[in-house]
Amino acid sequence: MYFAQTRVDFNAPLYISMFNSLMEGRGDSYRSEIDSVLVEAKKVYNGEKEIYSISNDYFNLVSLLVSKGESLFADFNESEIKSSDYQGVLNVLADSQTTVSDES
Amino acid sequence: MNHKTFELNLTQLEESFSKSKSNKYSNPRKKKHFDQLRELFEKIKVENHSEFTKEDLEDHFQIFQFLFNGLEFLDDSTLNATPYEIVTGLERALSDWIPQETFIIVTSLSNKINHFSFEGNNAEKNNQLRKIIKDRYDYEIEHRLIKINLPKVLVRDYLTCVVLYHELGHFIDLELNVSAKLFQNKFGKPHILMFTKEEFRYYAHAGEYFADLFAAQYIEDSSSIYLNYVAHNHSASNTHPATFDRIQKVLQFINQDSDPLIEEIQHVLQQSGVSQLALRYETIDPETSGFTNLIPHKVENVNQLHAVYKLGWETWMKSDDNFLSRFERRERYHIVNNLIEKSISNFNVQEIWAKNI
Repeated sequence: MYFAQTRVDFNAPLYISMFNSLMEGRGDSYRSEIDSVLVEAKKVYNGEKEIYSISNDYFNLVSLLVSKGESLFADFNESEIKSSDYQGVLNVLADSQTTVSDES
Repeated sequence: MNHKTFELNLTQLEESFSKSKSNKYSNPRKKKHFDQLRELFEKIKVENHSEFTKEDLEDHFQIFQFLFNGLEFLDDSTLNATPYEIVTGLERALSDWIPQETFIIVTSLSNKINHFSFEGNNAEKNNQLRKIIKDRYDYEIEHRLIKINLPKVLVRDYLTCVVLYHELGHFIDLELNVSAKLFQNKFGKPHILMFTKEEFRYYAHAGEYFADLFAAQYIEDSSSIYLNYVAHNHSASNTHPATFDRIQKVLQFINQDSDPLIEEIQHVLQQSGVSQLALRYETIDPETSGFTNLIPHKVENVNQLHAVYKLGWETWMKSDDNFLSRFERRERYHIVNNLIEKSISNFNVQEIWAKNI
């Protein structure tokens, strides 16, 4: 509203659903795109890419993953993305949900 | 959500589709969007729901919310209810920032007098939903809705409706993550991990300032006049900067004075490779406009189209001293609104003619 605005702009449950599907061997129609997003996130974390250049389609996810990059990307191999990488993302997403709901 | 609440939701949606199926839309894209929502719903309906897992139910809850929202706003956006002249300026403003052909602006009329707001999924949530729908049903919804709420009683009030430019600014902010990037720069972490009141306040204020500046690109300080009335002397809250500060920021932008926040916003926009804030209106002199002769202003271009709102506001604010002074208050109100409406509508008609020649 003009002088009272509510904004919801990050949907962790949908990402949790997507990554759960990937863990279970489903979600083939978006697997390669999500894998590319993880690679991009690692590049931002390593300073090889600017956060500004990330597509708005994934900006919040990437910025969240970058903020937890230390734990996520230590063993991340972009040519062989594993279930454990997806599990790491799921853990971050679950934590972010707790954070947001604790605040609200 | 369990299977029975899912069935309840499914039935409610079925009812909604049934009620909406005879709607007539002024825009074929709205009709197409409705048809696509219904087609998706039909695909969901024939699934074997009893085998849905908890995760399936959760996904469908989100898809159902998407369908409900779409129907709700399309219902309010039929031939008789849509303030077409208002939407046309917003569509043009939108196209300065993001490819407009993928969007449909729809309106919802509220019974609350101050209910100007927008609802809509940002690019990221839209992308998530698209991916899940595509994966589950191999189906793609072509368009996205930008849903704008405005008070029913003000639907032909072209003075107050300038507030909608501010609301569109919120949409653009969330779409392009402007406030999110400002937050990231200041606190070195994503805004979705906000903890403190200070962090929340910074993010909320950044969003309000951006929406004000976004609006000022098109309607100059028209929105400030109204804001100064509805939120006069409001001090800063956790969600909004003080009214005085908001008005000052808009003035600095209009006067092109330097300001750290405006410069930072411009930096973020530039780095993101999108449009930057700019003065996108062409001021119309009230004395030489058609208004003084009680005829619509001959709008020459899109920048003037946006400026018609400011012209309307100037005409109204000086109505004790200008050509309107010979009319009674309610007549003045109707005259100003009619002149704005007709100025915009003539421009639209001429554009359509020009395209068809």
